[in-house]
Amino acid sequence: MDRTNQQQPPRQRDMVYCHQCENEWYRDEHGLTCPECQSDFTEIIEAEHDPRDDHLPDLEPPDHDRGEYYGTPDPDEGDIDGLRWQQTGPGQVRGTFNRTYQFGGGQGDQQQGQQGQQGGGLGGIFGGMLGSLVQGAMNNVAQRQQQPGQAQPGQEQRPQSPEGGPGGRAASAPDTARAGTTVRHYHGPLGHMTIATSSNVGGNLHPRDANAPQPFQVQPNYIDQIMQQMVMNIGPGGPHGMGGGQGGLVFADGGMGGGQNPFAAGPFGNVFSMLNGMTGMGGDAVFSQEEMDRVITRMMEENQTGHAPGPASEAAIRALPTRPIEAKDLADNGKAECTICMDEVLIGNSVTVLPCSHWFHDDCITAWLSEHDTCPHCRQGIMPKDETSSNSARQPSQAPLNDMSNPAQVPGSFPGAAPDRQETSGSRQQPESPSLHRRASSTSSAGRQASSGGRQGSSRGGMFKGMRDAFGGSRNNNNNGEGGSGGGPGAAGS
Amino acid sequence: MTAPLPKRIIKETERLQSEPVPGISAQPHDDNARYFDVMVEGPGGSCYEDGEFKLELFLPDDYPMCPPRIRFLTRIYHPNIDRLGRICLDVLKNNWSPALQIRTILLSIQALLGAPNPEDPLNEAVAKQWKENQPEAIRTAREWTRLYAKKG
Repeated sequence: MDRTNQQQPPRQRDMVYCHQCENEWYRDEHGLTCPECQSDFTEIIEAEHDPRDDHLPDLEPPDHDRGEYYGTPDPDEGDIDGLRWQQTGPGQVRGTFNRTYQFGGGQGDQQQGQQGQQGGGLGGIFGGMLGSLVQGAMNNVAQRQQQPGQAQPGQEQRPQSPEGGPGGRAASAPDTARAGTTVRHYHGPLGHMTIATSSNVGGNLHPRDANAPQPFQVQPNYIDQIMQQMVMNIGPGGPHGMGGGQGGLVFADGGMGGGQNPFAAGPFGNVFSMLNGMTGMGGDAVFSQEEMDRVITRMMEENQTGHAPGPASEAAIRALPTRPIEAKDLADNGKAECTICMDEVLIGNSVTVLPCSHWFHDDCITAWLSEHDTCPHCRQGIMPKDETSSNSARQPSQAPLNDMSNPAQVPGSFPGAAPDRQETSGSRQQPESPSLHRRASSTSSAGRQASSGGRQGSSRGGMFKGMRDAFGGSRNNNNNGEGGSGGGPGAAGS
Repeated sequence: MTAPLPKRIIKETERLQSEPVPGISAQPHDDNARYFDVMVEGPGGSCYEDGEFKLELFLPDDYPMCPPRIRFLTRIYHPNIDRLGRICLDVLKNNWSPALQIRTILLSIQALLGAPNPEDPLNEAVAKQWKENQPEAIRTAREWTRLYAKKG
């Protein structure tokens, strides 16, 4: 307490602080004794030493969620040229700072923000400033509305939270001492955005001390929420919003994802990625042509067979008949080979036959059909039409390799499940699995597929049924009657 | 190469040597039998005639269950081939079948040179030119063939 008597700054009105009741007053009005509690445990507030700092944790709401960035250095602090806070009266502070923003081609645009206020703090300043920036970028009209006493600004407008639910946030800071909340809505051609800031009178008087570590960090946390909200509320309709919000995802494949963005680690990461998207200022490698090419190549390769027909069902593959190679299968040179593995097959070797009568090694064709339900030669599938049609991958425009050379093989002519083709290939040698048993497994499998999400069974009997009736009805020459009943269980399964 | 080379790849390679396709060659690398240096001649009568186009071809591990990867190394002015030599061809993508081979794929690519399809473009700029001013596009293609694909 000695210091209070020794040091009397000559030019300014001194403010006195009571350690007992945290009251503040002007020294020339009430002296050094607290007018509230009459305590003399008081101190003159000085620029170098603000006794209130020591008490700030008491002001913090005990259940306040500090967020994951609590205590980490502010990544953007370096480019704040000067941040000065001045005490101008009891509960009044004035903050001044300079900040340089770069847009597009890199020409600097000096912005000066100044805000005298009662409390309010960084959240209000940044929110307002970013708001005006973004507003300018979106070329739109702002509405303001006041929502006094709402602790979590804009909670209702927030559609969803990217991490955790809004519920967690809502419970985190229900501080009714906060006096005012400003919610700004921006509507523009690129989407809409909501920025909420709160100005607090009373409970939250104190700005962040930029020159010293300080435990009271409510403001950055608010900024974090504000940023989240800004990014989230920019709807998918806005192309620039997409660039900001999802750019990291798109380029993550190319190894240039948000993880390497120095800003991404801090609460401002969202803002900067959004500003990048808005101004097209991508920085370096991500937007280079080379990088773009690499990404596209990779996407093309990964999507190489993206629209190819889906797999045939295991049951249908297992049900395919086999037969031995005969002399008529050999080519003119007296040889024959499986076109998948290119190994020679000899007379008497067993091969698996597809409905289109093309044959292959059992292992070879099983491996292929498990990925794509097409004959490697003519592209005809082995699945009954009504099931493959809902596989959705087959393109109507896909022409068979050997186009329509065999009119008996119109695609619609195989409505039955394949087990029944046992009839036409009596030489199949699988004594341990009689045809009845096989059909049963096929049936249950079809039923399972139909009931599990309807991926296979959703469009059964629709347009394709009509086509099948038109084409296949009269051509059911070699898998008749039984074929129809084979298709039955599948249809019943849906 | 850790995995043994599938018999099919050995057979295909042998046949490409023993029964070469006119105007097409494919030579495997000594140190990687799945990687081929390919040469395709521009089909006669096309704007790529007298051109010799180099390509690279790679057979992935699951070949022939998935298509070979193939790309032009020689610059070419073609609506279905882009700046980097990537090729827009259905049999290299959705319409791949294990019954196809290196030989048939290369023939398909040669046929694509003979029949550019600007309606399904990979190179938008070239395709636009091809549709709006075909004589000029063909002139450019000839010029590029002369400049970059000269037989040598």
